[in-house]
Amino acid sequence: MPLDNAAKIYPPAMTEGWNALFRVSVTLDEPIDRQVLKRALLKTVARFPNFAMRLRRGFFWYYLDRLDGAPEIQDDVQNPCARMRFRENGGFAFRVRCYNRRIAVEIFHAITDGSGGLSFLKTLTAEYISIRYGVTVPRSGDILDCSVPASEEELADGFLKHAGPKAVPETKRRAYHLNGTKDPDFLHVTTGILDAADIAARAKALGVTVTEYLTTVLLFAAADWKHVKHEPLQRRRPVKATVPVDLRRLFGCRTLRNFANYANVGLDTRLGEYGFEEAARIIHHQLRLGADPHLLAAKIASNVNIEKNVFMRLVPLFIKDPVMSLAYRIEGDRQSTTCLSNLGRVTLPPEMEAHVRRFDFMLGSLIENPIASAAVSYNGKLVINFTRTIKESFLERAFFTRLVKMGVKVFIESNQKDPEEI
Amino acid sequence: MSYCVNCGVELGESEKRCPLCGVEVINPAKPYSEKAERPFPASAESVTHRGVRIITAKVLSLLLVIPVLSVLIADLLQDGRLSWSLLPVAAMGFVFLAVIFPCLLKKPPVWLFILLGTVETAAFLFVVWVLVGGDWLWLFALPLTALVGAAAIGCYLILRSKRASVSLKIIVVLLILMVFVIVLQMLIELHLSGRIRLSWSIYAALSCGMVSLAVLIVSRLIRKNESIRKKLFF
Ligand SMILES: [Zn+2]
Repeated sequence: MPLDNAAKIYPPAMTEGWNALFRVSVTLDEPIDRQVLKRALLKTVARFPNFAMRLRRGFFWYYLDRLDGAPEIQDDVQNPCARMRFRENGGFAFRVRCYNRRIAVEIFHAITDGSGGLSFLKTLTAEYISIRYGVTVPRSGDILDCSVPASEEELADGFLKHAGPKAVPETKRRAYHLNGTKDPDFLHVTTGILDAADIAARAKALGVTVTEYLTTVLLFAAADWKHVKHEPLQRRRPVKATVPVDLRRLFGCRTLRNFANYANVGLDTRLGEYGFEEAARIIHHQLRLGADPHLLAAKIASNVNIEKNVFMRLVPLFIKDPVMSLAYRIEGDRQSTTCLSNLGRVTLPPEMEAHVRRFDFMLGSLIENPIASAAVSYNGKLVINFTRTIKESFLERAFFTRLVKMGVKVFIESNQKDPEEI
Repeated sequence: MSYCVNCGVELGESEKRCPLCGVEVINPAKPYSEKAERPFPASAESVTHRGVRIITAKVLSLLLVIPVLSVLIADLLQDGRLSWSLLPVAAMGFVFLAVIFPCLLKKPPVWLFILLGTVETAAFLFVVWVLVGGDWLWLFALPLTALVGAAAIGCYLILRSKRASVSLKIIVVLLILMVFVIVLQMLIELHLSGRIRLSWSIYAALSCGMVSLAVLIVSRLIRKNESIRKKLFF
């Protein structure tokens, strides 16, 4: 199976110490039974053929090769999303990690995106609960029925199918870059738990969505960072956030593989201070424009064109590999300051709801930007995870204290080490 | 239920310090207890890039030993003495110092890298001079090496500076280039004819100076003229 269009960049970009990972996890009401989880995992992997794959080098491209079974279940660690070595993982490009009542799945971005990963986790949880508690969990939406095989549509490359007639490449402008003391070997995780209904009400009062509301708070936090550094006005860059857009709903596609694009939204702080309300409106409109299906189809077309380019097709991988890696490192994510990926609200059938307490979503370290954030809400709680590879916790602090000042209750936990342990 | 007195956020029971600001959690009603369940286990996965580099460096050094030994043995077998073999051995020592040694350092700063490279080159040239002889070392080769090293460090330091604007960086690099060509021709002339007569380096230096002057003027103009600035922004 060839890699999908969005996945093509991830294998060349990976190094000995880094690959593009993200993590979705679920917390149940009781400690996890690993034997049961192992059985549930085998059934789930069989339903998601894109997970049962080994990454291989071909002569022209990387490709995915069928792999039987499932990876061994591992103990969770303090620093999630550390580089994945497929060899240590039975060849699989994802891993399942357990800690007390939590099941976490860390996934290499070449096999799927956040929504695909969440669908996998929900199906895995459904299998686990039905084996562990002997209940029948109804399957609908992205909780898949493991007794039927994957359809062709679910394994199709949505990008090839939905590319627009005209390619319009994105105009990329560099954004303000957050600097800090690098700490690349330890991913610092700060989790904030908010009341989902409260945030939804606040967003609604401004006429924006929850994602737009959170993005505005995040951009304000990033702009505060900038003020601390006292950049002279003429050299200021805009603060921007990358917000992934799930294309499945927009294009009516049910693929299990990567099918997302990005909207890059931001505030130009050279133009003076923005009020929170007006900023939220601007972000709202920018995100709406970014989610225009015609524009997205044109962006997809330009990405697909690169892949279809005769030169790209004929050049052997051993030349393409370093070139693409270098291009990714240079271009990287410089056109954004940080990133906010919101999976939205998770709904479960009552049979699962009885046992599921919480969902978490987090991104592994990005290539250039030191901080990323990811959110998901379930059971009235909005869980937002900040992951960073620098020591400074300024961005999270600015983000959460701004919420506190606006009257939002914030609960914080983290994976920080005790000072004595360091 | 403890709050950070500094940030106003509620903190998880396992947090000894506020993860946002680092202030210690002090709640007389509920002192910190080690027993609280942590959101993540205490053991971390170690991600060492260094291990791989050390292994690579070791393998490369081992590979270097083979040609060094074979050259030495070949020379010894010829007439029972070491003579010409010292030159290739010195060259391989140079490769070792320049390529493999930096691999063993954890995070060598670039200026140190350049400095080491310069010193190593000088040492190698010295060895060659000891073996071959001649008058080229002290007045030409060593000053040239020092010149290249100094110019490289200067360029690097100004390019990585966060304070300097782009135009300032260009100007400083051009000025370094100017000095470089002039000193270069001085060295060459001194070595070839024993006198200093500047010719081509003047033109090169002049053009560098003109370009840097142009950059200076344009950057001044941009700073003044709002409309040009708008067009050139980003
Ligand atoms: Zn605090």
